[in-house]
This record gives sequence, structure tokens and C-alpha cells, in this order.
Amino acid sequence: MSIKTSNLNLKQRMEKNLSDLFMRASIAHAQDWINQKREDRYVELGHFEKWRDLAADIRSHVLDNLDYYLDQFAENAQKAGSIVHFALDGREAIRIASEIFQQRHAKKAVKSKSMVTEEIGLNEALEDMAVEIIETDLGEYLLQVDGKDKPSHIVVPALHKNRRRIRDVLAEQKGYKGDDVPENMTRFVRGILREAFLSADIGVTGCNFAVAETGTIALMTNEGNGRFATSIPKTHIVFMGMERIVPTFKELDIMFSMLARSAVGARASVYMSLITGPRTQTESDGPEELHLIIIDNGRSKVLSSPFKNVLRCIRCGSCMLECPAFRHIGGHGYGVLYSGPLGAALVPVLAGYKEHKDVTRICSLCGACNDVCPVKIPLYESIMEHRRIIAEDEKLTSWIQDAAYSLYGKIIGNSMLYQAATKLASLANWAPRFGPLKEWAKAREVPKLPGKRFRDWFAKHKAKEDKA
Amino acid sequence: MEISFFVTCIADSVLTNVGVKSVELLEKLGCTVSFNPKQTCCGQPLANTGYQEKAKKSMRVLIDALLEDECEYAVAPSGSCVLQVKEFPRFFKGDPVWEPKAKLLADKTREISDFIVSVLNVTDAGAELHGRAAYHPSCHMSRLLGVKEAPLQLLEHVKGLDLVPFKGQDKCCGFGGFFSVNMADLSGAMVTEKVRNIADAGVEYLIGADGACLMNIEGRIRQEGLRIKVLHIVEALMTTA
Amino acid sequence: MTIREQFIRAVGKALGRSELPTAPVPLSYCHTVPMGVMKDSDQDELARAFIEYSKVIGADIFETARDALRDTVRQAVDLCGPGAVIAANDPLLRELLPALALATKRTIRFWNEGEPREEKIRFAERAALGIAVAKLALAESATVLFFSNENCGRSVTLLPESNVYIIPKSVIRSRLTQGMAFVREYKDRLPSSVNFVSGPSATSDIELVRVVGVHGPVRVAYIVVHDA
Repeated sequence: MSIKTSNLNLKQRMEKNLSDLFMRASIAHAQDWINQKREDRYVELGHFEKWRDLAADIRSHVLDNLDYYLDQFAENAQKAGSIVHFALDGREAIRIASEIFQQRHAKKAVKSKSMVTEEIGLNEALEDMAVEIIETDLGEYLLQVDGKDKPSHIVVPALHKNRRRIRDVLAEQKGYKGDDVPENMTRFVRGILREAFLSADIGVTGCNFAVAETGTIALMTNEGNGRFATSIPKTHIVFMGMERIVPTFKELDIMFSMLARSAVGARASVYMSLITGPRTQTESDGPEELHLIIIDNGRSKVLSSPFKNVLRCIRCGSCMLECPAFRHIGGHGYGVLYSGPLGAALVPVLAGYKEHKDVTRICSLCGACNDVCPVKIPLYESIMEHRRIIAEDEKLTSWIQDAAYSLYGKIIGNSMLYQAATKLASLANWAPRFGPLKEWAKAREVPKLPGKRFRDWFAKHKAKEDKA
Repeated sequence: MEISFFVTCIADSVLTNVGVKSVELLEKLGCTVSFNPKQTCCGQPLANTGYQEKAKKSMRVLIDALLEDECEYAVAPSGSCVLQVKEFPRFFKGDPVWEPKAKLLADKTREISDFIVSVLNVTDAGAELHGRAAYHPSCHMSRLLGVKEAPLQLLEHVKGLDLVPFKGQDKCCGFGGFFSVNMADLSGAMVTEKVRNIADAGVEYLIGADGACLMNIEGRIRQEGLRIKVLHIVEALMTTA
Repeated sequence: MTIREQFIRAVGKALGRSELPTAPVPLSYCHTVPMGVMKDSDQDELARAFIEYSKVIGADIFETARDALRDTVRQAVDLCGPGAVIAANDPLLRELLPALALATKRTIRFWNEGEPREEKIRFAERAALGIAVAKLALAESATVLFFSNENCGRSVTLLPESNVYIIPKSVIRSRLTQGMAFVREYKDRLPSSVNFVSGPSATSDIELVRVVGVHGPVRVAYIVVHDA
């Protein structure tokens, strides 16, 4: 399971990422830039809330009937000539993929970005088999070349890299001799990857949506690498999270319309590809074999939990772009593949509370994510409920923390205790700065307690009034 | 109009002037204000950290304290605390005694600027305060409680006040209850950016309607030594020439 | 039980079911807002919207009439670098291109010609431009629709450095809602590959700087034919 992207603990990740000023400036710029574009797209489209209602309804409907639609999708995909596989977990998916690679005597694969393949650690597993697997999304390629760095955002993965670094890495690793102008570096990568596309044995992609009515895979891309991976190599393998279904093309319109706008603030992506089965006998390009690997990997657990709604996610990344916490620490700060509000809402229930309780702490509960999610996932409520589960059901909090909060709860839960405590509270003005006070004081001055409480004033005030 | 005043723990012990000015303002606008000293805290910081059961004791104390006077409304100078009270019925769902009481309280509790504009039908509180000001719309109050317009309407009628927008106005200030101390570095980064944006707007006043946010922002303003006065909206509304 | 049955049973179990349900009541939309976009635009207005937006997405745009199409295609082709042309095997292109080939001294091949597969792909990869006729177009996003088959491979609209697309005005629709409805009409006989294309390939992966031309075509020209 490669949902964890860092071996540093929460405190270390905060330190590391808060001090990465370039990354923070990049993320802030991305947020401001893309959020404005997204807003512009929805203003011009009109009726944003109505579109969201529709998108949320569609996703909920599919999740409520996921068994039916999965079966229908598999049936139709098979009829169209695809080979459909089912993988309960990542290990199983990798085993299936390995078999396909072996059967096809494949040594080289080109890959178009897929979150679920990162989730299961596909690249590492294939490399262990001496298969060369090349990322082809420009951002993912640059990360792969740069010591297999992890993405910092699900849509713009190399946001944390500046152009100088990219130039240096391309020069070191690939013999690039040009400058750091993005257009020139992109042209260089085009040249390298072109050969890879033309000589790869297998094309690997994810799946934005799968159309149940026809067994179609729908891909939304911009660079053309997704199209290459699905057109030139003789075998195409699709990795699909099992929840990525829409009933018919009619619903695909809504989902694609929202995804393009919410992800990058565009009316449409450059390529929207609908793939139904391998090529026919009379076609000269397209794959001879099309394999679909449908993956559970914890999704059925989420489906049966109170967090089913989080599976509506269409991976647009707009919650991350809206999140004020994400703004300062980027995807890397969360230490998990799915970051931002999505990560905080999904990862604990998908991959386990014990290992992933900390991600729910990276949230000030501001609610901005709820307002932008195109499928109206109750992110805020989910994060709150995870915190409750961690503290009360799973009991994963430290005993010190429990004791401190117990004491706090006891004091505020008893009028007499509370009044006594607040009367003494102004002593805190002279208290040494330890614990929470020390933490607060890192960035702010500690407020001076006035000594006289409001209730003291009111008692006098009322007495005066009663006299009058 | 008889109202039961919910002072909130921050206005009781830290920003006491907010409590004082709230009562004075309500009385000025013709309300009879009662305050039940049995009230403690709405329990939100505890509940938001996951300790919902531990917070219920104080919720019960608050429910009884605010219902005791049997006033028509309970009013608080804090959007986040009022939001928490609105959530009380959810916390006590299924409890035959406390759910109905929670609902009774939730239905009658209002944030103060919302109360003044929507219930008292007042937008001009007769205030006068000259200077450039920025308004911080606290997350819980604006997004989750839905009170966005009332504070602006009230501030627009303050004579001499020049309300200006600023970059990232809608963004969270980084308080988030115990988030401010449990994730202090991240919270610090957030409030630092907020204060930077406020300072860049060249204002003399930063006005808000939630004491928690104001405590947070003011703490940063003071640490940076900036000459910006932080006011709760009731303090602005009770300023006269 | 097959693996498929096991897998789907597990999903059903998560939903609280022990058996695969019969078809659910299809979702009915709570409103018809998507169908209302540009509902009252006539064909000229749709064309106008398409043409304006194609400039935004970085496509070169030409407008012409049927009898001037040959010249306009020549114009568009001349803007591309020297080299061969790979064309969809379409009656319109069969009519227009041979003369153009002579005039511009370019090699023109139609997709259904030649073999084997590798050679055809290599030709398309080396071609200076690919040319095809849009099956449908969408005004809102300046999108064109292609079906892949033996007459027009995926490669035609993917591999060459430049692409030229001929768009009869009559095929322009409002937006993706109509585009998907159109595709759905073919649901029982879908081609293996259907592509909606909106302008040249692009990325913003390096510092969010938009770069046009990544892996797909670097340059795309749209030719809207007003009386076709």
C-alpha cells in the first residue's frame, strides 16, 4: 500500500514544508490563479449550485447501486472485447498486471497519470520485474526523473518544482542542453517521450469514468500522452477504482463538465477520449488487447461506512486548491497520496485510522472545501466525525491528551468549577509559557486577561439597574 | 424584547469589553437583557477535537442556563458559538430529554448582528467611527451559519467608516479552536498571511464578529507591532463621536 | 462463484445486500439546466461562439464557403511546416486533397492506404500534418468530435505536428450535453475510440506556465465551412 508518501512524522513534515518557501509561493499562486479561473467558468456557466446538485445526485445514485452498475459495466466491457479483471486489493491488482506483462512479453510501458496506480505502488512493483515504466504526463515525468519525487497536488503534481531545478534535473539525467524556459523544456521532453510512445509494449492509464451502459472507459487529458498510451502500444491496461462509474453518456456530460471546470478552470480538457474495447479487426492503430483492472482496495469498506459520500469524489483537486492549510504545506505536508480535505476525509477510513489519524489534524474546519466540491461531499462533517472516531471509538489519542481534555470538559461542565477557574484565570498572565501557551506564542502575542470578567461587570450593571 | 445573553467563554474572561458592549448595545436598541451566570462554554473546541462526549456536560449546562430565563431569544456575540448551539440537537439526537431542549434553544439562539438586523430590523445603530477598516468574515459565521450580510449592513451605516476589501478576505485566519495550539506552526502561517493582507490594505481598524478570530488576528498584529486596532463589531457599533 | 461474482457480492454486502439487485430506477434529473445552455442560439450564433472560443484555446481559425474550401485548406496547410500529409479517408478530402498534393508538392496519404500497422503509424508520426473532417462540433468549448475506424485512425488526429480540421457549420451543436447525446445514439455500435478534441495539446505543469504543444499536435487549425 503506497498511500503513505513520507516517512517523516507530522511535526517533521510541518517543519519541512513550512520552510519550503518556493513551494508555498507556488501553491499560493496556483490556488489564486486556478480558483479564479474556476470561479469564472462557473459564473459563465451559471447555476453552479444546480450543476452541483445534479453531479452529487448522479454520484450518490451510482454508489447506492454500485453492485448493479459494476456488473453492467463488466458485462458490456466484455461484450466490447475488453478483458475485465477484478482486484480486491492492490496486491491482487499488481499480480494481475504482472501476469499481463509476462504474457505479452512486455518490457517497456508508458503510463498516463493514474492516482489509483500510485495508490497500489504499481511502478515500484513493475520495476522489480525489470519492466521500464515511464510516466508521460509532463509533471509526473519530471517527478519520476527527479529521484522519483512524489506529487504535491493531484492535478498539477510538480507544482513544488521550480524551472531551474527542472532544467538541472533534465540536464543531469537526460542530457538536456537548453535553458529553463518551460516551452523549451517541454519540447525536449516531447522528443524523448515520442520514442517511448512508439516503442512501448504496453500503455497504462487510469480511468476518469467508466460508462456502465456500454463498457466504455472515459479519459480526460490535455497533453496527448493519454491518447498515445491508448493508441500506439499493442496492449492497453486500464486501472480503475471501482467507484468511478457513470450509468450512461448522459451523466458523463455532467461529470466531465464539472471536472474540467473544477480541476483547472477550463470549459473542457483538450482530449476527452471514450474507449470501448480494443481495436476492431479493420483498424490499424489502437490496442490489440484491452485489459481493465477494477480495484477495490478499501473502497467497499468506505462504502459500508458512514463516509460513503466521500466516494463521490471525482478527483478534481478543487478542495485542495481552496484549503488554507494546503496552501502552506502542499500535498507533501499531508504525507499521504490523497491530500488536502479529500485526504483528511478519505484516508483514515480507506487505509486505517491507526496509521493515518494525524491527517485529520491538518484542518482548521473552515468549511471552504464544502463550498467548492462539485459533488457536494460533506468534507467538513467527515473530518469532524473522523476526529470523534479517533478520540472516542478507536481511542487513538494519547492518555495525556485525554486527561487534559477530560479536565477541560469537567471544568466547563460545572458552573461552580468554571466560575472558580475563570476567577483565577488572570493568574495565567504571569504563567510561564509552556504547553499550549508556548505553542500559541510562537506566532502571536498571548492576550492579556483583564482580571475582571464580563460576569463581574454584569452583576454590578444589573445591581445599578435594579436600583434605578 | 427580552433576551438571554450568551456571553461566550472568550468574551467572559478575555475580550470582556465585547460582552460589555454587546449588552450596552442591545439595551440601547430597546432590549431587556438577562444574563444567567450559570452558563459556561458551548464546548465547541472540545467537540471539534473529537471529544464530543466530554463536551456534552457543558452543553447541558449551557442549555439549562440559557433556557432558564424563558426569554424569546438567546443572543451571543460570536458566530462560531451560535453555530455550535445550532448543532446541539444533532449531538443529543435520540435523547428524549435533551434533544427537545436542545432544539428549543437552537431555534431561539442568534448571533448578535444577525439578531439586530433580522429581528430588531435595525441597520443603523447610530455609531460614528472615522477611519479605514477591514472586515474579517469568520468562517463558521459566514460559511456555516450563513450570516454574511448583516454585519456589513451594520458597518455600512457607521458614520465615517470606510470599509475596504482586502486580499484573501474570505480565507480562514487559522484559529480553528485547539488547532491554533495543536498545529501551531501551520496556524501561525495562516494568521501571518491574513495579517499581511490586512496590513497591505492600509487600514486602521480590523473589525470582526467572532472573538476567537479576533484574539488570533490581534495576537499576530501585536507581535508584528502593527498599528491596527482590532475591534469586535459591537465595539465599533457602540462608538460615537 | 467467479471472481467477478465474488467481487460484486462484496460490494453488495457493503451496501447491505446479499443478492445482486435488478436494475435500479434510472436516475431522473432534478432539473434540465444543462439542456438549456445556448438553447435559443441558431446555427450562425453557434458558429460564431465556436469561432470566438477557438481563438481562446489557441487554435488557428478559418472561415470559408464550400466553393472556396479548396483554397482555404491550401492556406491552412501552407502555414504548417514542410512534409507529408496524413488524411482521413473521407469523400470530401478525397475530392480536395489530390490537387492540393500536386500544387504543394507534398505526399498525401489516406489512412486506409498502406500497411502494415507499424508503417502506417510511422508515416503519421513523420507527417507534417493530419487532416480530418469533424463528425460533430461543440460551440461552448470549440471542440470537435472524431470517431476512429479503418478510415480515420487515432493517429491522424494525434501524431502529426499539426492538424487541420474541417467543420461543416451544420454539425456545430451547443455543448457537451449534445455531444454526449450524439455519441449515445451509437451506443450499440460504438467505435473502439471516440475523441472530443479541443484545440492543440497543452500543459501548465511547469510553474503553471501554459505551454501549447506537448505530446499531441502542437498546432491545430479549424476550418468552419459556412454553407456545409
